Amino acid sequence: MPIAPPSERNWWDLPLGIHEKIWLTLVVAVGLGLFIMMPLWHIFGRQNPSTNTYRISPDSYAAKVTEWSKGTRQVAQGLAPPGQDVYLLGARFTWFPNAIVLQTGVSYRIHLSTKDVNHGFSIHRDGEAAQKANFQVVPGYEYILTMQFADAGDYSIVCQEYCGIGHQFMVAKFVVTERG
Amino acid sequence: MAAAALTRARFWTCKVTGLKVHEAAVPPIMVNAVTAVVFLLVGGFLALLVGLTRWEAVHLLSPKLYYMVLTLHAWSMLIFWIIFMEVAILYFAGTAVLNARLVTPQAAWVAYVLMLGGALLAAFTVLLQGDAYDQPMLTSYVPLNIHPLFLVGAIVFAVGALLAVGVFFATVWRATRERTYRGSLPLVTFGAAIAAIIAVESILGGAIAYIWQFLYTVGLVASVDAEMYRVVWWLLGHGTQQINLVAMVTSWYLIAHLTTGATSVSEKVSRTAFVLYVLFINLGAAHHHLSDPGVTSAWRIWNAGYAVYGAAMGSMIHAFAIPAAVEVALRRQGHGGLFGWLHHAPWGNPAFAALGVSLPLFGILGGITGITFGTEQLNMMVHNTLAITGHFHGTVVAGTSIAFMGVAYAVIRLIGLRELLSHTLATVGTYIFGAGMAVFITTMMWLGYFFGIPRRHPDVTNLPLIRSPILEGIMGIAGVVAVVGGVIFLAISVGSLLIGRRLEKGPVVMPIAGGANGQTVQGSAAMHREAHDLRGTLVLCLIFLAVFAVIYATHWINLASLWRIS
Amino acid sequence: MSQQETPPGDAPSGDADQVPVMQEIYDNIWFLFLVSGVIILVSYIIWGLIDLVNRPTLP
Repeated sequence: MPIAPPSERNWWDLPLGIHEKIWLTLVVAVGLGLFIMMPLWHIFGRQNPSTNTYRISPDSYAAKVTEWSKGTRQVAQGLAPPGQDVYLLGARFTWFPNAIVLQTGVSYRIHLSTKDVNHGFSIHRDGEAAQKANFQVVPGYEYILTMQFADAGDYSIVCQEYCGIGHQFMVAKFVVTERG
Repeated sequence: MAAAALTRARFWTCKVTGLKVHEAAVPPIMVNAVTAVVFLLVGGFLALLVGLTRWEAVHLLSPKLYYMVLTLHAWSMLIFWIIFMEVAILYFAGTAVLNARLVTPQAAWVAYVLMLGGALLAAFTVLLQGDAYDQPMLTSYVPLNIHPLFLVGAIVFAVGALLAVGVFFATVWRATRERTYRGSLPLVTFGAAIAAIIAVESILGGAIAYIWQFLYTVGLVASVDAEMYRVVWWLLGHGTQQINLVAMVTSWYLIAHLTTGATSVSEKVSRTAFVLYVLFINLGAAHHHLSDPGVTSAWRIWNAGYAVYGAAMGSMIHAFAIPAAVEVALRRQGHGGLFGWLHHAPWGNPAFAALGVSLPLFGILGGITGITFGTEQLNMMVHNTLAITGHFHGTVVAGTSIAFMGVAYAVIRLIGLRELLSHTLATVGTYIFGAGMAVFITTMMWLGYFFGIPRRHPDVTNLPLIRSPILEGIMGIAGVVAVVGGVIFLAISVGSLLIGRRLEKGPVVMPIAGGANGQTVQGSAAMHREAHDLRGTLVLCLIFLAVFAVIYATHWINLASLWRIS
Repeated sequence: MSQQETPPGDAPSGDADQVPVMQEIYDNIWFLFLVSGVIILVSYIIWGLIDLVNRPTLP
């Protein structure tokens, strides 16, 4: 009984039944399989969370973003980056820049950090269910995600890490146009 | 000194289990359990307010009120209701189950005062702090502007909880020395000890994070690395949820035994699962950093993977072992066939209903998503969305809280010595709560996974996301149904304690000096040697595994359809 | 008055002191506490903090 010591002093050597053995074998196999999937996806999968990170002070990062934005081109729908680097600065309660124009098929390095508190980078392909990715944006760390968009369209970005009373207003977007 | 205390301690005998209950342990057990239920009441009322705000058609609270109410709801439920209840369970498992005395009641009262004082300080700071400060939520990440008194409250609560856990350990230590039991610890006390070990690790991690943050808040420390803070804080954040998991599983064994006479089919298998928990389960806190900067993939995979899923194996083992114990006990009563035993289980017993509802809901809603959402690459699809909220309501509410309600009903009868006002209503209330939560959780997951709706958000109507007002409505209504079930639990539990028919104690005895608790050995030993028919349990577990496989595969397929990310 | 208990030291079956080593480990919650604490400290905290400290710094 679970509310008394086991009646057999040596319970270790008691035999197991066939149903238990079947289940235990399955359990170990499942555990191993679950574990192996993760390194395997790093090798064969095209969606993996980045580990590309640098330490940088919030003020230095903010200055870096401002500097980068001077090299961008203003087009109708937002700022177009000069090369493959895209910088986003989270600050209470906006994203800067809040509209960036990109192209399909280009591998972009998206740099994320914040001037103040934790924010969240949550990007959604507009109009499509389950087409989204979510990352943490942490002050003192420059987090670089590499993304390559296959489909043109609007990709909305919302902040999904509580950052204070104006959290709900932090919205931005990528406008992805067809390359060529 | 110890001998004098031993002879002064008075025990009465439980008429149901034959266990010896230390008289002075009863008030601490009952006061902690009652305090837990009071926080459940407060948290449940706040749950209603939050749910009616996330249901945008109702949109009850303003952003300012929403963040405050959400903070209080989270702390009332995830921390106060659950930890006060766990302290009651620990005291019960260390005393009555071991026929031992509490070491010491005075320390237990000090712990209680610290826990309650800390809780009230934190809660009132949240209520009164004013607009200059950010609401702490559950996760008061540096460098949010957190009121220092809130941190003091949290630290004081943590110290009190550590002391309460220390009382449990001292009780077990002394019971072992005084030989109030012979051989291994009973399974329930072993499980409680595992929960207590995890509790110490988790609460220490939290205390370190909060003290560090407090020093920063009052200017004694210039800065705090925000990601290091997150990593340390989540040892508390997820660690406390692992205490809940282990305490829940321990509760399941207890309830299964009290309602059907079930006993573990294999002590080795059940205890191995608990050992897997104690070694690996707190590593899983890393699943909060799968989409974070700074940590490496190797660290994420090893830790969020519970070291080759050791702790997940533990859960899957218990998922088999507990139904197996029930199956054997019910087959002994003459119910045959593949599922005849299940059909004839005491579904009309409120504690069994709690077991029968919480085990599958935990496994399917909470457990599966815990693994999928905690997989390194799958996490990015759900991090900080409402799907996460769905996951932890599946584990902590549909799982742990329902199990604790079952334990509460048992404790009210066995320790509080009050008959329940209505067994039927208690049982029906449990089913209503389970059904409401199941739908509530599923809709939150759907909204978070397919629509990307963020968690902790006061107003999604202005976001450029597709929404589903119908799903939000179902979520809101299901939440209200769950609250109704919760109200029934509160009414029956509190009402029974106040006006329930008093039950009789068994004879008051002097403490057992060095003997075993007199259980007969032969009957149970014979049971261990016969082969058990566990077909029914195996089939149920295989069905669960099939559901898991389908959901797991679907997640990877969806991930593969995303654009390239690395 | 208390029931007549089995006097201490009398084992009901002959196995009393022949417990396998693995069971002794399982039965020792203090040892489990120690091992568990070391694993969490090293694998989650120390390794994690080392990862973070090792991030290269930008000006």
